[in-house]
Amino acid sequence: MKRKFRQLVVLAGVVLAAIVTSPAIALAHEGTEAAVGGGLASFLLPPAVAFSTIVVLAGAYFMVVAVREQRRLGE
Amino acid sequence: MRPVAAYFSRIQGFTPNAKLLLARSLISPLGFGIWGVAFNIYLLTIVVDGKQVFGVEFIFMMVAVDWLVHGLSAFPGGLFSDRFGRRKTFLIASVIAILASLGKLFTLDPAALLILAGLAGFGSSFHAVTSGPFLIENCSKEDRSHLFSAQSMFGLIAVTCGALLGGLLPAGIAIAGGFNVVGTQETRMALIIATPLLVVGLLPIYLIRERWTAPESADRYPWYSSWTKNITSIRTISKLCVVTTIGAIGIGAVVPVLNAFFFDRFAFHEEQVGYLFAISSFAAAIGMMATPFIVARVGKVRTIAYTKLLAIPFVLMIPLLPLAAVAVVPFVIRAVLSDVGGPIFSLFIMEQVNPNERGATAGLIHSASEFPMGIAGLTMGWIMASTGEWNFAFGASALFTLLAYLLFLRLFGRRERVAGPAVATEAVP
Repeated sequence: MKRKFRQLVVLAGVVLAAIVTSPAIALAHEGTEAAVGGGLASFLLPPAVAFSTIVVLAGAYFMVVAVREQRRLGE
Repeated sequence: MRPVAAYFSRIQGFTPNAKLLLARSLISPLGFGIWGVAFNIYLLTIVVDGKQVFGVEFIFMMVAVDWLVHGLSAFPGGLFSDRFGRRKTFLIASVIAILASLGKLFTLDPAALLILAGLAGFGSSFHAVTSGPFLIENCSKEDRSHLFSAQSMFGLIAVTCGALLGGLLPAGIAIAGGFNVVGTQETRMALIIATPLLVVGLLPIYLIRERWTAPESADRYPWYSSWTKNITSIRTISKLCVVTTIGAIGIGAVVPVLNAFFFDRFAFHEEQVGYLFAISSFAAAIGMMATPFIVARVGKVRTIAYTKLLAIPFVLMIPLLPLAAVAVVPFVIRAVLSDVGGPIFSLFIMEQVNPNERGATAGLIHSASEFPMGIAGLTMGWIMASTGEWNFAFGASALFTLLAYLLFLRLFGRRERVAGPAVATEAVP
């Protein structure tokens, strides 16, 4: 349990460090309004759509699994 | 990666009803996230006879009406769910919120838009106060921390994705159409794309199986007095409301003005603030995965109090740092620490009261949080506008957070017994 907790803390630390440094790097490179506005919007749209699709698919997965279990349990 | 795998394998073991609620937490907030942002852009882009029809002030008014009705209907919503069951309340609330949101696309009358905003707030409040009681009633005692944190994590990820898409989709549609400016058609298209998500979000709630029996008081007392007869843990609920109110002042003092702070102090662009908030929400969602493990080590009360108290130095750091690239670091850490204990606080509240008063308690806590938060935000906004001083808002936030969670530790710290890695927290009569 102690080892698991330590691993989790390390993992959380790495993820947090990556997340915290990314906006700092982005802001350090901030330049014109165009880079932040329309340019960045079109750059970010594909990953945002991909990530949202994963979210919807995960929701659908939970729904299908739940219905299957309901049937198995005879509810 | 073992703890992450363990976390998700725990989720696999949830009851079918809990899984359906998780499915809803992923789909519905995504749709509402897109709607929330894209609808505001849609209103701002409406032009009739060369004149802009709605300004930012009107959007603020709509948000205020939504918030006011949300706060006022939370307690009745809780009573309703205690009386008629969680599933029925969920379904009615969701249908009202969806119809009200869709209705806003078919009118340009300001009064009708404000009424629909109020209806949406009514639906969302009934929904918000039913979620906690429903979660605790559909999982084993051992799974509670995992379920509450997973539901919050999924909801936060989905609503952030939705808000990002709500801002990006109209721009993407405009770029695809060869336009330089986002217009009414592009935002309308983004809203139409989001609509099926709202409707599909109803499906998991419809599929929930619930055997609900009305509380005994429903038969024993006349209808007008039976609604509140279930509420017996008045002392505990009052203590929880006091802590919530003081904590909400701490949040309200600074959170609503954080975006304005980054505009003002560091001359951030609108999009930069949006992305910064999105990144902090994702970080908070990832942080929530650690919540059940922290609870297993230190207990619920200490997890809630320690994470909130640890956030205080970072709140104080934000206005003192001179560079934007440095100030965003405490901003993100504050968001993570403040949000990590949120789901466990909801769980703790649900565990402290009797099953028949859970809805009413959630409603009262919701009102005790929403109103002070709004009033603190308005007051700090007014102080900021008249003095131009940012440090006061951050100092007030730190002070109220400190008071709230020291009081929480004092009032509830002794109730919890931590026995090894497992923690037992039960309602105290």
